[in-house]
Amino acid sequence: MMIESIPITVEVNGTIQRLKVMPHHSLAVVIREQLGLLGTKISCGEGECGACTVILDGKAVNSCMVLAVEADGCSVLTIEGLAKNGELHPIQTAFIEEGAVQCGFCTPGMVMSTKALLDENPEPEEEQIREALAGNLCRCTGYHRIINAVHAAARKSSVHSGETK
Amino acid sequence: MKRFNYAEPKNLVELVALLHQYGASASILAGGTDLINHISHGKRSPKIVVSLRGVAELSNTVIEKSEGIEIGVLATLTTVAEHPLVRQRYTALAEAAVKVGSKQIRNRGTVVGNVCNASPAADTVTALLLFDPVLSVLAETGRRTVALSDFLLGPGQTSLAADELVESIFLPTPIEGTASTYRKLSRREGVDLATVGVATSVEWSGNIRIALGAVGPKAFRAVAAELQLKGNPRDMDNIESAIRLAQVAAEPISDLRASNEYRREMVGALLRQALQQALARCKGGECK
Ligand SMILES: Cc1cc2nc3c(=O)[nH]c(=O)nc-3n(C[C@H](O)[C@H](O)[C@H](O)COP(=O)(O)OP(=O)(O)OC[C@H]3O[C@@H](n4cnc5c(N)ncnc54)[C@H](O)[C@@H]3O)c2cc1C
Ligand code: FES
Ligand code: FES
Repeated sequence: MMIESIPITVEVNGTIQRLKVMPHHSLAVVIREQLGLLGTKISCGEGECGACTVILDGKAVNSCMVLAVEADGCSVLTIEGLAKNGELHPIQTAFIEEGAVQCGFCTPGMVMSTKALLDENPEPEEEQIREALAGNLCRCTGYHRIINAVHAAARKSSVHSGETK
Repeated sequence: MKRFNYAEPKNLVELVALLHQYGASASILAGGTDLINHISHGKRSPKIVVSLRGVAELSNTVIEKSEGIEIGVLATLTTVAEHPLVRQRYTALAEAAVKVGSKQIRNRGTVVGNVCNASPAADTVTALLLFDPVLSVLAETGRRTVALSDFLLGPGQTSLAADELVESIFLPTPIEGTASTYRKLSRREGVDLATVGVATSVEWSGNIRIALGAVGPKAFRAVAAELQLKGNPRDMDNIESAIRLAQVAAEPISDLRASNEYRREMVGALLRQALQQALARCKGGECK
């Protein structure tokens, strides 16, 4: 049986992409290798570590566990989609300011999980932050500074929305 | 990952025709959180992966019926865990669903996929067993219904034929005022399979149900322990007798997560906690 690539249309960071993807390729592979967006990391490749976390139709998912063909008709947000006009997103700034980045390999996934959390719940309790990030492993920081960064990002965002009101 | 073809049937007629055509060489894809790992580890090597996502008739929500609820085949663990009626009437199921994996896994993985994967440690299966679940199974030749306890045969084994799929799970409404809870022991908080899972429900009349997961080839109801508690669930000595009966019914294995002796001990500890919690929730008939 011949296995052929399948055409999909997917919105990635606000841009419509028409791609031909192999059925066995994960969304993570296509994001990195076909779109050249290397911020999304592949580490375990089996749903354990969260390094590949992207936001698919508003929900945080492991892009290594989603087939690229399944993203047809969906919208995907990767870490590259956060900064606007060369200015970092408040979550990214908070991670830097709180010293929540060491080697940085987990960071894009952590930031995307944080984004999904704050979109849903702008003022999360510590427990809710821990639950939202339980699927993101970090080998460097010991997590405290990451949790602090999420708190700081939540404060920044509430200040931001206050300003625009 | 090994290569495969992919199909996205648009309706049930197309779906069952594909399953009939390919039989055992097709794999059904729901959330993919088990299937994709099975394929990349070589445990499964389908010629074709058949996705359910485009099938018009299949539901991704929990539907309220006059005599219970129907969990749609594409309802994610997140959807089920957050559903108000599930939280209120089937509390143990909501608690089990939110304990599966991580947020990312729960946003993709489905309750029906958790059931069809038939892991002895599947969290929602243990909780579902409290609520007399009935699965609706579909094939080209027609529909049948099957009780969850008959559907599960053993680790990774179900009574599904190669050309069948599960369409939905029906849970009848529990007796007014039933309280329930699910307790899970795992090696680390979040993102680990259960070492032991215990689900318990209490009816106001004093009827108790107990389901145990990860301590046998499949999750099961600890019937002898339930009978021991019937009518007298608050007496401490009686609770200890029931716990011993549940521990005898458990047939845990030893693996890298835990030894069988430890698992059997933990059945006792978790069941004690679960009973306390369910009874507290059911205080004076005011179950929440
Ligand atoms: C990192 C990680 C952590 C996890 N943690 C847990 C945990 O803590 N507890 C737990 O219980 N599980 C856990 N799991 C397992 C998994 O996430 C769950 O079993 C999930 O509910 C599976 O649902 P799915 O929709 O992703 O299923 P899929 O992977 O799509 O399917 C699972 C299996 O069922 C079959 N199938 C799916 N739908 C149907 C259908 N409608 N009819 C017939 N067959 C069907 C598929 O062919 C496949 O064999 C974890 C998995 C990962 C990767
Ligand atoms: S690379 Fe996807 S979860 Fe680890
Ligand atoms: S900063 Fe290195 S893994 Fe998190």
